[in-house]
Amino acid sequence: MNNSTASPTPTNGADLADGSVPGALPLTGGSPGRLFLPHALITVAALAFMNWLIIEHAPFGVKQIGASYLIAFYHVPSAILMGVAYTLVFAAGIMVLLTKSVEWDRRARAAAAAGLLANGIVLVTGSVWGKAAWNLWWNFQDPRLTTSAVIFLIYLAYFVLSRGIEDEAKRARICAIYGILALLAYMPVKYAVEWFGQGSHPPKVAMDGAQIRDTLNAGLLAFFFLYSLLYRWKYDLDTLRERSDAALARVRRLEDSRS
Amino acid sequence: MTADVHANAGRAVGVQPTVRVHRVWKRFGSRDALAGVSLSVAPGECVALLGRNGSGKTTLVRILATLDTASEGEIDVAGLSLPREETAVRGKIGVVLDHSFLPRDLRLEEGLRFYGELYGVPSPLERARVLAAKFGLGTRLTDPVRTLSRGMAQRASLCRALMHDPPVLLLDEPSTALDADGCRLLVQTIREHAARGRSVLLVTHDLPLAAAAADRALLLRKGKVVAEGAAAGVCAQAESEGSVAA
Amino acid sequence: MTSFRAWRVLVAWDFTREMRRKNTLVAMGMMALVTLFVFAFAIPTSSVELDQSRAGILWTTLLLAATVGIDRAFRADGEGRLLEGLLLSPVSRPTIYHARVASTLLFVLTIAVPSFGLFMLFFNQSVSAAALGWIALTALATLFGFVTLGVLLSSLTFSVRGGDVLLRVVLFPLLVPIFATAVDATSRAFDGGAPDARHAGLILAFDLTFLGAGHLLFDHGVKDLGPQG
Repeated sequence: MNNSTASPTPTNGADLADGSVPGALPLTGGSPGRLFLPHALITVAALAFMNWLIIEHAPFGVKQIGASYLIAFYHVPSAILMGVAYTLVFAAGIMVLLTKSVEWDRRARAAAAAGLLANGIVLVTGSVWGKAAWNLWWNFQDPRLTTSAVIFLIYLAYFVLSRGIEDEAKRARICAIYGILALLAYMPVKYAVEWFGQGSHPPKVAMDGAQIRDTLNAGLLAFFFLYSLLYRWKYDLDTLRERSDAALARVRRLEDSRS
Repeated sequence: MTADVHANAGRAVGVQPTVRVHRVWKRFGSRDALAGVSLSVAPGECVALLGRNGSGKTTLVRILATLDTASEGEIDVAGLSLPREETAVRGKIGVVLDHSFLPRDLRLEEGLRFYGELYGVPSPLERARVLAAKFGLGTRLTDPVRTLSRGMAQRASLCRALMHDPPVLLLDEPSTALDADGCRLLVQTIREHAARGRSVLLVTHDLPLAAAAADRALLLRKGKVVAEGAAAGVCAQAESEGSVAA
Repeated sequence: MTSFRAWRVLVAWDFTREMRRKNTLVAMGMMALVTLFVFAFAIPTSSVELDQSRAGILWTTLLLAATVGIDRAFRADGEGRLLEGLLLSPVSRPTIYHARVASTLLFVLTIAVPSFGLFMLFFNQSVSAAALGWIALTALATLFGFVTLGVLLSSLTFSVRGGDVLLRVVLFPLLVPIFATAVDATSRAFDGGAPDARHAGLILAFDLTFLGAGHLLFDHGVKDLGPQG
């Protein structure tokens, strides 16, 4: 037990990362930034491939809604991955409460950030489609778009909450509970929309056919890379921020004990 | 190591300690409020915990009072382990913190009676009257709590903590705002409580109080126990080091 | 002591304390009154447009007033420190939560009833007895939902700096589904119709979901408040 805080020995990064010693800095989170560039390059390539498919492979226009359906290749994968990301926030929240580890809080926050970007793309693409279909940028009569907007608000509030709390453990706990409540509030809305009818949302049957399915799958993959890239970026950034804070606190303690 | 002394302290005398704290850590972010604190309080004993502001005294009391949880370490209170059996522990402890926990707009007797009811005291109003009389609040029972002076509120806080005659009494700076008379009453109460085989953990930077009321004392600095022993000795050491002066 | 007895003691204590000064009731009542006045100036009364937006006016008023009560559930007059006193006692955390939900709902309803009366008066409304019954039922179930979720969120935010604003930021988006359903159901009641089974289902699902969530999560919310609560 030589890692006591009152008489710290000079440490390097590897030493700092040892979380098993009592009193050592609870530093976890792997090595931030590793393989970030390859990940980014794959993302760009996948997005380019998806766009090529949209232009060259997918049919230009379907029944009922014509060419405006093409935006669905951005809209649908984002909507699906948004649900995945918010479910991760929920699951990570439960893990925070069970393990009391701020590690899971970072994961929850990163998932919320990825979900928020996906949610934003859902909103923008939905709005653009609305302009094409109804000549309106925004229509509160459409339950799906409105629902997405409310969910966007719910997870925007998640970040307001997270920024408002200074103590790390407390922030982890409170955000975890909010993340759980957010999904619980969002589930009934999702079903309510189906109960109360589809509004003007294009029915799913219009999006059938092998070429459309191929393009949609490619889009799902490309957007998965994009959102997981954002997840990693946010997670690594928070990890680094936490490490630098911890290191600064340690330096301050060292100075205190010398004076 | 002090920790090992403590692990054996109870066994050596052949009694189970009522409060046993073993290598407890509390972290706030990267700051350690408690860094491996160990201590024990035997039945019939009053232990004083001394230290300057920010040494981790209040953090430890709040953990023992089940309000906060330790990051690491083992804690037993009245034979029950924390935080697993915290609801049961709550019935066994009486706690004085920096607030009386009595609502300002209710009469003193209403506030005390309410806590008596929560703790399942058989006739709470009677008990409230007896305690209030003992602490010189007999004539103020029907006054709203907001009209009490700070010293009187502190006495009322002691009454509240004693409503259910707890086996373990946790006192955080109980002498705050008390006059000489109040301090004498406080020492007397602590000694009586200990004499009946109950335990008291007294957290304070009031050295004369600790010397008068406690059997043993520990000195806490930056979340670590740096000295322990007979109350008089530790108090003298604390004074000479000036490590208690706030 | 049984949980139910403890629950009764806690509700009685909240009620007794509120009756001494009535600060929360006054604050909620003023909020309702002011909101109704603002609407009276913002929207032309006795017009066709009013018929379409009356349910929304009513529910916005109730939402804003109820939020004041929910915010004060743990914040009023050193209430946060008093909560610590309760947390020290051998009463289970869920019991404390359910008691605070009950007392807050009691206060909210105490203000909601006269607010509804004033709303009818200010905007020259009249409804049948049946419609009144449906509106009352909808309001009871919806306000219960507001309070179950609100008290839980209030227990999370009261100890945070700027927590009063934070509470509204996190509470309002989560309340949108039940709020929109209540507006829809109340609007139908004003027009003489009974609420849809789907309205009832959604509101009840919301109530039960967040009552259950509060039961399970309140304990985590009030842990480690830290020194100074």
